[in-house]
This record gives sequence, structure tokens and C-alpha cells, in this order.
Amino acid sequence: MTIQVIRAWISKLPQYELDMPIVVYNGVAYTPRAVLDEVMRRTTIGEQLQKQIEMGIASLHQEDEEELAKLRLKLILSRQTSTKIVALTYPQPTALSPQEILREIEQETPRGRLWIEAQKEVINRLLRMR
Amino acid sequence: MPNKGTAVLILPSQHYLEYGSCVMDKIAQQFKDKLKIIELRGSDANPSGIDSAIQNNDPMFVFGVGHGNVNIYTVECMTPYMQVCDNRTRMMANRVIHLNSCLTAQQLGPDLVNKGALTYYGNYMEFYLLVRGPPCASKFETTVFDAEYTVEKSLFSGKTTGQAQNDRLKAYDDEIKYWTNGPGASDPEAPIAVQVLTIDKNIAKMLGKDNVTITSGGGVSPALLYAMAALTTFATFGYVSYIGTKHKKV
Repeated sequence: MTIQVIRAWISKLPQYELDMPIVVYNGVAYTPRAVLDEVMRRTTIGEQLQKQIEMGIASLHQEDEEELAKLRLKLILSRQTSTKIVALTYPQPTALSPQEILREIEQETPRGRLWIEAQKEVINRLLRMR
Repeated sequence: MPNKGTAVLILPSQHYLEYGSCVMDKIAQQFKDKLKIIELRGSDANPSGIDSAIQNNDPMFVFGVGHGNVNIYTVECMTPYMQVCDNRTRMMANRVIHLNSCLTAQQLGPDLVNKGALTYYGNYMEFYLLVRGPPCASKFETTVFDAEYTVEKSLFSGKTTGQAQNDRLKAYDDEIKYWTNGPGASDPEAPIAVQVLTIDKNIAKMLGKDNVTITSGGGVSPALLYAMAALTTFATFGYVSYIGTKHKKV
């Protein structure tokens, strides 16, 4: 994979993704902007990050994948302002606050797992963008 | 048998349900010339009103948005309407049913199909919607319903239940693209829209038959389309061959 391919991949991503962590190497999460920086400087890390992007989410260790999904959800939910996330549940209609969802994600309740698994799909979709 | 081309739509308004009902109402307006659509809005979306609408019109299709759980679907004011094993599940026999209601695909949906419903669409886990402004105020509020209610747009257009499910899943992908690469990508809350749409797509289930149409004669099955295409090709080829033969003779 060349730097042009990395640039092309980044150009396909929405602006809001450029500063969101998307890959993990040696326990450190990297954003697309940070990946580009490492690759441009031809560092060893940059080389490894390039490979990860080429291989997609399959290149991530399961633990890293989980942590990455949780980290991204934390960032996404902490940005929520006035939006309510409502579930059509009975006996109570559930208007969930970002804090409640984050707590369930941390505790890995069934609702929390639903959110984590969906976020893994989002990451995979973003890594496959070409 | 229920009346093809007839649909009953249960559209409660309280407890955030207006967010779905207003989207479905717009779809109903688009198809009112082609189908007999009975809309039960707000307080009309009560158990006895729904029973009367179903008994009086014998619709081929019933849609309902409402709060739910694995074994129950509720209507306006979260009044229980249908539960696993109650008599109302039998009223749904020979019909196509769509319950946009949390968790009902786990027990209530299978029970409806066991009691004779032809096809059931529903949600396997919690179905999420986004509330930032009033109902139908912007794409942000309608996005999950624009995808989920593709079922109705497809069925009302004469497509089969299986085609409607494929269209529903594709519509979720299209909505995700809208917030990833489309006009919605500049919205500061686009990432939460992508997250919620991804969950809602994963839990969008269909049970029962995939070859049913709910319109009166408008539905054309894929098998029939193939047969028509083959017949047209054969007829054209035969005609060209005939002309060719004739020319040779001349």
C-alpha cells in the first residue's frame, strides 16, 4: 500500500472521522490524521498502521477491537448535546442519556453489547472504504 | 381471505410515537389513490378502534408503531393491544403484519406466524429513534423511519414481502451513507445517527413467507417477471427467425 492509497482512503472518510481513533497499535489508538502523519514520516509504526488499514478490522486483536469500539462510543456520546436517544420499549419508553448508555457499555449489559457490536461494524465499514 | 389492497395503519402519538407516525402518514398520503388505507391516529389507535377497523375492513396488511417487549405490543398511551397467545394474535392470520416495536421479533412475531400470519416484520432488540427537534422536523428525526418504513413503500408498490425486506435493509445502508458521505456528514451529530441506524438495521427481522403481495393484482412475482421476459425473448427471436427464413426463400 502506498501513501497515495492512504490519502485516497482518508479522502473517502467523513470529516468527523479524521480525528476519531480508527486503528490500534501496541495499545495506542491512532486517528486517520495520525496514521497519515506516521506514514508520511516513514516510521515503523506508520508501516504497521498501513498494514492494519489494508487488512481491515481482521488485523485487530479482539481486545483492541473491543477497546477501540468503547473508546469511539465514549467520544461520540460525549459530544451529544440536546439529542435524546429513545427506545420503543414497554413498560417504560426509554429516553436514554449518553451517560446511561456509556455506563451500560462499560458494564457490558445486553444493551451495552448491542452498542459495542454495532460500533465494530462501523469501524469495519470505515476501514473498508476505498 | 383478507382484502388485498387494504391496509390498516396504527399510528399512536404519545410517548414519542408521533415521530414514527408522522413519517408513516406521509407514506400513506402517497399511496391513498392506489390502496384503501385506514389510518388510526392518536386516540383512535386504541384496542377497540383497532379491532373494529380490522373486523370491518379485513385488511391484507396491518402496520403498527408502538412500545413493546418480547411478548407484547402496545398502542396509544402504552395500552396493551396484543400479547403472545391471546386471541388478537389469531386475528392476524392470513395477513402481513409490521410491528415497529422493540423486541417483538423474539416471541410475539414468531407467535403471530405460528397462528397463521403470512409474514411478520419487526425488531429483535431495542429499536432506537433520535429526538432533537419536533416530529418530522428534519432528516435527523426521520432517518430511522425512512429506512424502516421502506417495507410499506415496497409492499404498497406491489412488491413481494421478500423484496420489501431486501429494500428495507438496503434503505438502512442508504441512510448510513447519507450520514457518512452524503449531505448529512456535515451534521455534528452524524456519528450517532450512523450508530443508531447500524443497530436498527441489525435488528430488522422478517419472519414467514417471502412471496406474498398485499396489493390487488398489482404485485408481480420475480418468477412471473422471468417467465414474461423469457416469453418476450422467445417471441422476438422466433419472429426474427421467421423473417430471416422468408428472406432466404425470396
